[in-house]
Order: sequence, then structure tokens, then C-alpha cells
Amino acid sequence: MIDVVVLTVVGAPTLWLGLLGLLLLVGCPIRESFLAHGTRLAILISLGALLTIAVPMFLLADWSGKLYRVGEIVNLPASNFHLRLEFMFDGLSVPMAILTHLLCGTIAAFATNYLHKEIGFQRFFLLFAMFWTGMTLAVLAGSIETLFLGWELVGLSSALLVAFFQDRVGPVANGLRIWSIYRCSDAALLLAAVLLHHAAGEGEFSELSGRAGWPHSSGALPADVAIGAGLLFILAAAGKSALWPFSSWLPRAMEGPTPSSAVFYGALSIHLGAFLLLRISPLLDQSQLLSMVVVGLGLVTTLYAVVVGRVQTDVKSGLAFASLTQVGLIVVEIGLGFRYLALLHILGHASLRTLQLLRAPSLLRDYVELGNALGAQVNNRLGKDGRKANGRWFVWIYRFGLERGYIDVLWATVVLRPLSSVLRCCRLLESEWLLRLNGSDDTPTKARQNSHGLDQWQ
Amino acid sequence: MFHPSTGSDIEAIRSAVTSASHWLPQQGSLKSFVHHNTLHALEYLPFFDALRQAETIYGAQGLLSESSYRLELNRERITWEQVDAVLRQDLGQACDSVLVGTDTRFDVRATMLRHQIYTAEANELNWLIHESSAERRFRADVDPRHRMGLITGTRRCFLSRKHGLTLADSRTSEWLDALLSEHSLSVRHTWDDAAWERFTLRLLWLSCQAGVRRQASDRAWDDDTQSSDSQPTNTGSAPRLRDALWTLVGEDLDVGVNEVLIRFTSSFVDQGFAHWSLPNREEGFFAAFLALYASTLTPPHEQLVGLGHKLSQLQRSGQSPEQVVCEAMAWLKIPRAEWEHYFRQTLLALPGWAGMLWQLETRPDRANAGVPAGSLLEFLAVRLLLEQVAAEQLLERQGLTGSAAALHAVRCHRPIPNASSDLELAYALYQVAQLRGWRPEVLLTLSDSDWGTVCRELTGFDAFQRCRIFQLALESTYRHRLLNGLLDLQSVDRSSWVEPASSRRPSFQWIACIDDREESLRRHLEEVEPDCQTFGYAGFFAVPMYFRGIDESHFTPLCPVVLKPENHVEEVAVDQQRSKWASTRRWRRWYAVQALSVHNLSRGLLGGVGLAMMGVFSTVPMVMRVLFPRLTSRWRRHAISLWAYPAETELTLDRGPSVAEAELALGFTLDQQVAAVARLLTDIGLTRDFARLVIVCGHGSASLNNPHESAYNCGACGGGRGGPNARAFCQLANRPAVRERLAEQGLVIPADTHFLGMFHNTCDDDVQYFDLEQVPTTHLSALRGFQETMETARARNAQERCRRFQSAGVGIDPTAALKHVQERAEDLSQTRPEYNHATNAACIVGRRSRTRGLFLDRRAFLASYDPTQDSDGEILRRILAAVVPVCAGINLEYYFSRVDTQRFGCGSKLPHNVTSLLGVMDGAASDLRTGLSEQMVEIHQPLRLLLVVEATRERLQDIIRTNPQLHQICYNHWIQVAAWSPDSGEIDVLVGHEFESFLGSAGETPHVGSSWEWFRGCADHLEPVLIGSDR
Repeated sequence: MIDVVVLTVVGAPTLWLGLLGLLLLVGCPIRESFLAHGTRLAILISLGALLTIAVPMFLLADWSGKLYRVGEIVNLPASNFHLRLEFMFDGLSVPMAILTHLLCGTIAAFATNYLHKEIGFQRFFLLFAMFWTGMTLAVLAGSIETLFLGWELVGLSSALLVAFFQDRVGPVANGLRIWSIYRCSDAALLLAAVLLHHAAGEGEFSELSGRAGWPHSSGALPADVAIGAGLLFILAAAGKSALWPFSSWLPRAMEGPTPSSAVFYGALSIHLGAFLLLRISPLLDQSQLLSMVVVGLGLVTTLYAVVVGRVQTDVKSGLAFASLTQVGLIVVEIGLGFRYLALLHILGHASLRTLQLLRAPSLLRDYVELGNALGAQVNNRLGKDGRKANGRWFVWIYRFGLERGYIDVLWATVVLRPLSSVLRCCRLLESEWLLRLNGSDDTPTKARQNSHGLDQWQ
Repeated sequence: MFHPSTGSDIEAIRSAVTSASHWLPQQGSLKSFVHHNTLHALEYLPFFDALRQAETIYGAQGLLSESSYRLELNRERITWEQVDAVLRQDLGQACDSVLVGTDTRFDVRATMLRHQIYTAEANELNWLIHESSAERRFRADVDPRHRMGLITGTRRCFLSRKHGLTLADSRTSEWLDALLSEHSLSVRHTWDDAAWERFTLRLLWLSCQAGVRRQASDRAWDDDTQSSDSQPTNTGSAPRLRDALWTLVGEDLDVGVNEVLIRFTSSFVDQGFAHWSLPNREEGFFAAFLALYASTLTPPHEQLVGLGHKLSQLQRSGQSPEQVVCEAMAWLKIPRAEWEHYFRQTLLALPGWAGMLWQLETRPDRANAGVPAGSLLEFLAVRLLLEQVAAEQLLERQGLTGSAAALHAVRCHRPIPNASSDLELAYALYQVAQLRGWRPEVLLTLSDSDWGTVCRELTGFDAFQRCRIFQLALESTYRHRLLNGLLDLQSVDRSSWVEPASSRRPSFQWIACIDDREESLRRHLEEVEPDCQTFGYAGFFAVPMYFRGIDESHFTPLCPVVLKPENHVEEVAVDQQRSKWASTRRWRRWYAVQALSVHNLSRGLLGGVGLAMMGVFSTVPMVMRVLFPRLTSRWRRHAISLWAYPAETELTLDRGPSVAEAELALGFTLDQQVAAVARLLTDIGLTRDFARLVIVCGHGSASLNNPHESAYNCGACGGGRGGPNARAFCQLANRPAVRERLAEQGLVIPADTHFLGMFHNTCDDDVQYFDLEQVPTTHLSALRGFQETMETARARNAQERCRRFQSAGVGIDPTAALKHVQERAEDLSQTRPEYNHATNAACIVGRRSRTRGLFLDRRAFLASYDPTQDSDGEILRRILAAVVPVCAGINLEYYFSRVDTQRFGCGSKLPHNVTSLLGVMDGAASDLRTGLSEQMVEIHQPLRLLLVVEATRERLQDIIRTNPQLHQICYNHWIQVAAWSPDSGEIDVLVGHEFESFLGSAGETPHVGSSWEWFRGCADHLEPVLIGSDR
């Protein structure tokens, strides 16, 4: 019985995603109402099934995790290795899953009207289904492989939703930038998974927390592995949650339509990194160092986001950096060991921010109404004349904020440029090689032309 | 390399910047959106010339694409008769000059319009010709007769030993011989039809290519004669440094420059959203920029390495922005004559932000925080500076070092002329030859000059010209339908159905705005209550004022933008309620302070934590608002009504003796009051036969989550809501003192006539009445009757609007329709709360009795004017001076936003992001988007406004001639003009500078019983019909 319920919870999104993907693949024209109703229905079914698990848990206040295995993909008993889909229903995953369903359902309803007649309506709902599936899998994951599966789906759909308006340059370039950062964090997560498998033979999270269940720890892993895997996990979380120094992708995510922006930096995607940290929090308990790294990262991010957020002049960037401030704080809370507080913080913050983002286009009207009630135009500025704050330090901090901490330009000059020149060298070598093998003699000019083309492409 | 700049240089720069600024969008803050012609800078040119110019300057298209016009043809919004008629008129005398065989220019052009002529880049064409069946099979849409004629003709010609053609030159005979020797005569005898088809087409293709070649060699001496035809040449076209470097090196300087400028400019113009204000803002754009970036070590963008160094040098030398611009021009070696052009192109790299700076600079009164004069110039200086830094760095990286020689090479770079045009022309010829059945043997014997004529014809009739004909035909189709409708209406005996019997007093008279959206409400009122009369007047109702509502903090101007009101009017609580209102106000203020601090805290650090902890509760309003918008808003309104403003308020209309501040002239003098009332009543011709109840109705629109909300409001109130104007007018007209003075002037308003103000929300079709308590008890039954009529009419109005909304469903009934539009207005996720002016197409100035009973489909602005009461034409003169610019502005803004939504409009609404409390960007960093969004214009049909004036052609001609603004837009045909004779009922249309009689086809307009019968189940535009006939 319970297996059926679990299957429904994760199967509904997966099936819906598969169905949509298949229909669009064969080029079947889909009506808007079908997409809207289908998405809503799938979310309701999944949510209903989820509640049948959640309600008894809440009523009995029984937060111990229950692990369900669905499929065995690889099983090598000889080397004590297996890879399978596992889902964990505990005090961490169930509230997060409910939040995911609630927000995805609301935003799907919102998007039905908002994107009406939009040329990419079908594409949006396909990507949205992918996002929802990814979130559900990642949140309910009982093992690191399952988490990775969801994690990837979330990343892919996020990048594609940012590049939703694919006929303009900006969104596509920004989607690519986000994708590149996500790849770094994905690589870290994958390495961590490999490390865990090496050490423990499997990637179940229960391995980290032992029998006690989340958030308690039994210290099952050797210390060096714990630190190594922990650092990789932190790196992965930092990329996904736009923690410093990966924060530069956050404002770029605004290129998509408002509902998808709301899902990202408002609500779900940006908290996924924090969720990962919560999930592996038994590791943090094991090592003072890891906790300190997490606290430090959170503090730096918060300070960074506060400064940058102060100077933003557009509503979506303002909200994005406000989100980041809170995510930084959540990370600090996790590092300090306040697990339930952090969970509550995530739930509340995600809901609040989603509402704010959905209402963001009302900003002008809201300000006029508030101004009318106040009897004066709304002005958020410090000081009446702005003359107070012209000191050298203020100029410096202001510029830091306006330039978003120079992360972008440093990323471009310190990371991307050397990387691309290495790649360009490789390409040059390769084409020279090829030409030499072909026995052509006008090697240098051709090669230069090629490299020139690469320049343009960048 | 410091070039001292002289005073004259500085003057030249200032004036060049000022004239360059005219090319920028004129849109101010979104808080008060005013419609205006997007191409206002080109109004001095004839319309289609202006479109050509716009193409080169803005890179935007001024007409729909050819395929869109074909779509309109399929939907019968354009008819082929109109296309042919327009084409004939366009060609004029040249219509019948023969091109090839018996084919005239008209035939060729008509063929090119009827059949899509494919064209592509050279590579694609080569592929198409050699790989597809284009060289082996005829086009599918070729007339079978032409096909057979071509094949049999070729067969007859080439089945004999000698083809017997006298060829024009030796090269032709060379390739022809080569072709013939490829297929020997004996082989040709064995060919079947398919083989002959292949041969015919190959021959045709080769002859077309040969013809184009021959003509191309002629072109050298032919050039001067044809250049004046269509393409306006662009003088002084030095390419921007960025464009030159882009073609030369392939790196886009604008990427880095724009990114930095967008960030900085949005901080500079921010109206109070950011928590920290830009340091040194008060010292101006240039100084603030220098101060911010001079000491930076890390460049703000990787393209701008070395910016800090350059700026600190500048800071030390203390140069003015003008000097910086001057030096940049010297560095680029741009002569003074080309400055304006260069500035224009440079500013147009970010037209939205540059335009906003100019608006804030020139109209500081319209914004919360204006910017100092000269900001646009400083913006330009900073931009040129950034471009120079980026270019120097780029040239250095490329090993070109910014030497004069390198820059000169950059400057002189011109795009390579299109080499593929000959192939394109040949392919077009090839298709036309097939479609027209031009035989190869005819083409082979054409002389060089004939070839020249044919090729010129084809190149001259390019995509732009074809679209121009389609556009003219689109307009002509609508014009014919509307004018025929008007003509048919006057020939029908209508006395029995829509008019109130002249002997009876009208049951009420309803005066609304001329707005196209009020047309349907007027029509429904008349259908529900045939005994009423309706009028249209610009929605400020002759009461221009700065108004402050009881719950507002500031005075806002409520009148057309061209007027500057002299009077301030305030809404205050009546004496009995004043104390109660004061306490509510305190509550509201307390609430606002809390709301604002919540809003700000949630963006901050610690406050955010507290709020986030309680954030789960925000799921409740979120889910409610998204899933049940109407219900939620009703609850919200109930809650708000606890501290709503008092039920009874009054307007400070009289100029009290106690006005302390001289500049704040509160209220109107008696003379002004009388003048206002007299003005409106005489303009609309309501000077006798007053009903007992005269209602004046202002309008506005309220919708949620819509940054462009004010664009939906009343255009005649400068993007404000016209309710207060209607209310003020009625209060004035009800005053005995005013009536007394009016009677002295001969305008007698009966004592039993009462004026009542009301407000119509065009988004949710809600209505609101003002000062009901002042209605005399004797008029209560009349009032009740009117209100009942209004309830029915507004529901029907909602029903008519719903036919445009897909989500409303087709067969919706009036009550459900009303609910539907209310829900739309309250829905956070709704991007189309209403369609605004999207259907506007015409403007009719004249008596309502002559348009009443015609279904105008919410497409016409209706201004009331009675020519019988206007002997000297003064009334018409002032009506047109006020009405035409407003309507033309709305119409042209819709036109341009529709034909190129990305460049003239603001693109899709979905990624919009409110910035600096002024405008919207796409995503986090883009240009400020101006114009209208895709969601607003998607159903719009781009037609130039058709102005129909009930006046003789002489009088109209005279008015147009003497008013410079009308002169420009009418004679340059930015609108279409028609004079409708008040006596004979004949219609004349303005063609060129003269009026020509409109020859309609009478009796074609259908008759239906009611509006509903005509529009039900139909979402498309509908043509005019006569309503209410007994059939």
C-alpha cells in the first residue's frame, strides 16, 4: 500500500513529464487548456498522495525517516556496490516536498493566464514539468544518486527557462552563464557521490546519520572522507544557491518570464543548495571545520547580498538580492546547528518571496497607493538630501554594490579568459594537426581564421 | 593630445545634442503614460518616406511583413479589388506602359502581389536552384495556360534546325548555341513533355540571368537616372566606431559600454527605490560618474580595462563634458557637420535610457526627482568616453594600437555592397516570367534598354513597395466599409427605430469621452433606451485642473498634455464628516507606514528573518489571489472599507478669498466656470432641448500587476482618470449663478435640468455616481430609470468586450461577462486586463444622429459637433485642434508598436521588470523599453486613423491649411482625412493636398436587429452594420 503511495508521489511528475516530452517530440499540437489542467491534476494527485504520508507523520509527531527503494539499477554484491532509486520521507523531506508542490501548483495556475497566447507556452510547461519533477526527486531523495538525478533536472530546466526568450541574445547568453556555473556545482556533487561510494559502498543518506535519523548524527564515516565529501557538498550547494562567489548568476536568472523567476531565486531553486546542506548536516556535526566553512560562507554571502541589494534600482534585482540575504542567513543557521530553525526559515522565506515576486509588476501602483496614504511620495533613500553619504568609503562601498562585488568581471578575466585561451590553443593545435595530416600547406592562415571565428563566437 | 575647444565648439555640441534628442522616444515615467506618435521626429516627411527613413535610422520596419498582409488577405480584411484599385491609382499614367509582350507594368506588379516572390541570400538561392526542383518544374501556382503556352512555344521554336530568332548580342547567341549543342536536334525530337518542361525552364533561367547581366553592364551610366526613385540617401553617414569595429574585428563594444551605462543611469535617475542613493548625484551625471569610477582599480567590465586611470586623468585636468565630447570627436576625426548624425547614432544605442534622461531634464515637473539640465549631454560624454576606452583597449589587443591610421581605416570602412543582388534579381525575374508566361524566345530578343526597364521595374517594386500597396489596400478596405456604412445609414429611414421622436423630450442625455472604448457603451445605451441621446467630448470635459483626491497626496494634472492647467481643485470631506475622516486618515497613515516597513524590512537583513519565519502564512493570500482573484478582492475591499474615505465629499471649485499662496490658485473664478460650461455645451451642440437628466461620464481603468496601467486611462486627462472632471463639470453646470450668466449669453438651461457626474471603469465596466445626494427628489425616478438602463448597457458592453477574450468563451451571457471582466481586473496573472485602444481605426467628428445606429465595433473615436450651430467654423477649428493630435497620437503609437513590437514597442510583457520607478526593462539589464507591449497590440490592425469630419470640404481644407500641426499630419498623410458634407451627405477623401469625391457602393451594408446579433460568436474585427432596422 505504502509503496503505491510513494510511487504516486514521484510517479505523477515523472509520468507527466514523460507524456509532455513525448507529445512535443512527435510534434503533436497541444491545447493550452490541456496543459494547464494536466499540470494541475498531476500536481494535485502527487500532493494528495504526499499528504497521506505527511498527515500521519504530523499527527503522530513521528519524524523518523522511512526509506523506500523503488528500482535497482546496478547491483554488484561482490564489490558491495549498488545504485538504486531511493526515497526518504522524514521531517526534512516531507515539509520541503509539500512546499514544492504548493508553490509549483500555484505558479502553474498563475502561468496559465500569464503566458496565454505566448508562442513558447508548450515549452514553458514542459520545462516547468521538468523542474517540478527534478525538485520532487531531489527533495525526497534517499540516496545521493537519486538526489543527483533531481539536481540535474532542476539545473537543466532552470537554465533553459532563463533562456526562454530564445530569439534575443541576452537571455540565451545568461542561460549559458548559469549553466556553466551549475556545471561546476554538479561536478562537485558527482565527485562527492563517488567519494561516498568509495568509502561506504553506497550513497544512502542514512549512512551519514546512522540509525538515529535526520538530523542526528552517528558519525559513520571516516574523518578524512567526511571532510573531503563535505567540502565538495558545500561547493555544490554554493553553486546552486548562488552563495558567494557564485552569486553573479542570480540577477541573470531574471531574463525568463516572471513565474519562472519566482520559482528560481524566489522560492525553490535557490533553496536547493541550503536543502543539500541540511541533508548532509550530520557530516557537519562531525567536523568543526566544515561547520565553520559553512558559517563563514553564509556570513560572507549575507554581507555581500545586503550591500549589493541596497543599491539595486529594479524590483526584481532588489528581490533577488533580498532572497540571497536570507539564504545566506539560512546557511549560517545550518552551520551553527539550528536545523529546524533553518527548515522553518526556508519554508517561510520561499512562500513570502514567491508572493512578492508575483506581485512585482504592481510596484508602481503600490508605491502610489502607499504614497497617498503617507501623504508624501515614497522614497526609500537614506537621508533627505543624499548629501550625508558622499564620503570616500561610501563611494567605495556603493561602487562595490553597483558592480555586484566585481564577481562578474573577475569571473570573466580570472576564470573564463584563461580557460578560453587554453581551449583556443587546443583548437589551434588540433586544426593545425588536422591540416598537416591532410597534407595541406596553407596551415597558418586557416588556423588563424578558425581562431578568429572562435573569438567572435565568444 | 589636449585640443582646446572653442566656445563655438561648445555651442555646436549643445545644439547638436538638442537636435539629436528629437530622435529619442518621448515617453516619460510610466506613472502617467501619454500616447504620442512614435516617429514624431519624422512628421515633417510624407508618411511612407518617413517609414523608409525610420528603417535606416532605427533599423525597424514601418510596415507589417508581406506574409502578415497575406494573412489579412485570407481573412478578407483586404480585398483583391482594393489591392488592384490601389495599385492602379499608385501607378497612375504609367499603369498601361508595356514591359514585355503585352504585359503592362500593372500586370507585372499585380502578379508580384498575388504570388509570393521568393528571395534569399545568394548561397541559399544557388542551393534552391540546383538542388530543389526550381529549375525542373514550374512553380505550383503558375496558371496551366501559361505553362502549356511556354512549353509548346519553346518546342515550336527549337524543333526546327534554325530557331530563327534575332538575338540582341553575341554573348547570348554563344550560350544559346552551347545549350543547343548540348541537346542535339535528334535528341530533342525524342523528348516527352517533362523533358520539354525541363528544357523550357532551363532556357528561361539562363535568359533571365543573361538579361540581368546585360542590364548590369548598362547600369553604370543608368545609375543617376534611377537613384531618385525610392531610396532616400542618408547624408553624412559616418559609421559609429562600434559598427566599424564590429565588422572589422568582430567584437561588440556596446556589450560592456551598455552594461555599465545601464547600471549607472538607472541609479542616477532612480526615483526612490534603491535604499542608497548615488553618491554625488546632485553634481550631475558626468561628475557623479567620474567620482564613482575614477579611483577604481578593477574595471566595471572586462572590455573597459584602464577606465579608472583615464577618469582620474580627466578629473585632474578638470575638463567639462562638452570638452570631452569635443575631444572624442577630434579623436575620431569627425567633422563638425557630422556631429549631429554621430550623436544621434550614439544615443540610439540605448534610446530608452537616453530618452528618459531627456524627459526628466526637460519636464522635471512630471517626475518625483528630475535631473539637472544638460544631463543628456553628460550621458553622451560618458558614453563616448567609455567607447574610446573600450576601443583603445580592443585595438591594443589586436595589435593595431590606437594610431591615427588604424582609426582612419576604421572610420572609412563601409559595408560591402550586396553582391548577391544580381542573382536575387534574376531569380525574381525567373519567377515572374513563369507566372506571366513570358516565353524565352521573347526574352531572348529583348533589347538592352528593354531589359533595363524590366529589371528596374522588378527592383523598384521591392518588398517595401509591395507591403506599401498592401497597407494602402488594407486601409482602403476599411475606409470603404466605414464610409459605405455612413452613406447607407443616411439613406435608411431610421425615424422609427433608434432616434428619440423629435417631439418628445429625451429621457436623458449622456456625455462621455470621445474614447473608442466608450463607443460600444454609447451604442448599448441607445439600444436599451432609444429615447436617450449621447454625446462625445474630450474626457477632461473642458475643466482642466490640477486635482487632488481626498485620499491622494499630490495634485495631478487632469487635462490633455498640451494644456497647462491654471487651477487647483481639491476633494475634501464635508464638514460633518471631517473629524471622522481625520481619524481614518491617521489609521491609513499608520497602515501605510507598517506596509512600507514590511516591504523594506523583507528586503533587509534582520527584519527579513522575522518576516521569513512568519512567511509560511503568505501562502494563504498567494494561493487565494491566484486561484480566486475575484473573491479575494471582494474580501479585501470589505476590509479596506473600514477605513475607506468618507461617503460625502465636496470639491473646492470656488475660488475662496482666503487663498494664501499665490501660485496655488484653488478653485475657479465665476468667469472661468461659465466659460468651461459654455465651451463644452456649445462644442457638442447641446444648447437646446435639454433632458431633465444630463449625465457626464469620465473614464479610467484599474488593473492589477500592470506597470502600464496608466496607459489604459483617459488620454484626454493626460493618463489620469477622468471622474473628477466629470464631477466638477456637473457641479459647475448645476450652479444657479453659472446658469444665470449662461442665460445672459443666450444659452438657456432649463431649471429642471440636473447634471450628474459619473465614472466608468473601462477595465471591469464598473460605474460610480457622484453627488447622488444632491439629485432633487423630483428627478429620482428619472435617475432610477437611467441607472437601470446603465446596468443593462454595461453588462452588454462587457459581453461585447468578452468576444475578444479567448478565456471568456464564445456564448457568454451579459451577467457572466460582467463577472468575467471583473475577475480579469483583479487577477494578478492577467496580462490582458483589457485591450485598451487596440481596435482604434477611425475618428468621426459630427452629429451623433448621423452615426447613431451604425455598429462601429469600438473602433471609432466619436466627437460630437453640430455644423448647423457653427456658422463661421470656429467651433470646428478648436475641436479639431484638440481632438486630432490626441487621437492621431494614440493611433500612431499603436500602429508602430504593432508593426514592429520589438523596436517600436516594448516587446512581450512577460520578462518586464520595473526599474527606478520609471519604466520597465527586459530582465535585469536592458534598455528601458518604451512603447506598447505585444499583449496590448496583438489584436490591433495597423491602420492610419481615418478622420471623418462633418463639414464641407472647403471649410475643412481651410482649417487644415491654417493650423500648422494639422497641416503637417494631414498633408503628409499620417492620418486619412474625409470631409462629410452636412447638407448633401456626400463624402470627399483627401488625396494628396486636394479632396476627391468618394464613390461608394451603396446598399452593401448589412442590417441586423441588435449589436449582439452581429457580434455573437465572433472574435474577429467586424465591419460596420446598420442596427435596429426592421428588415
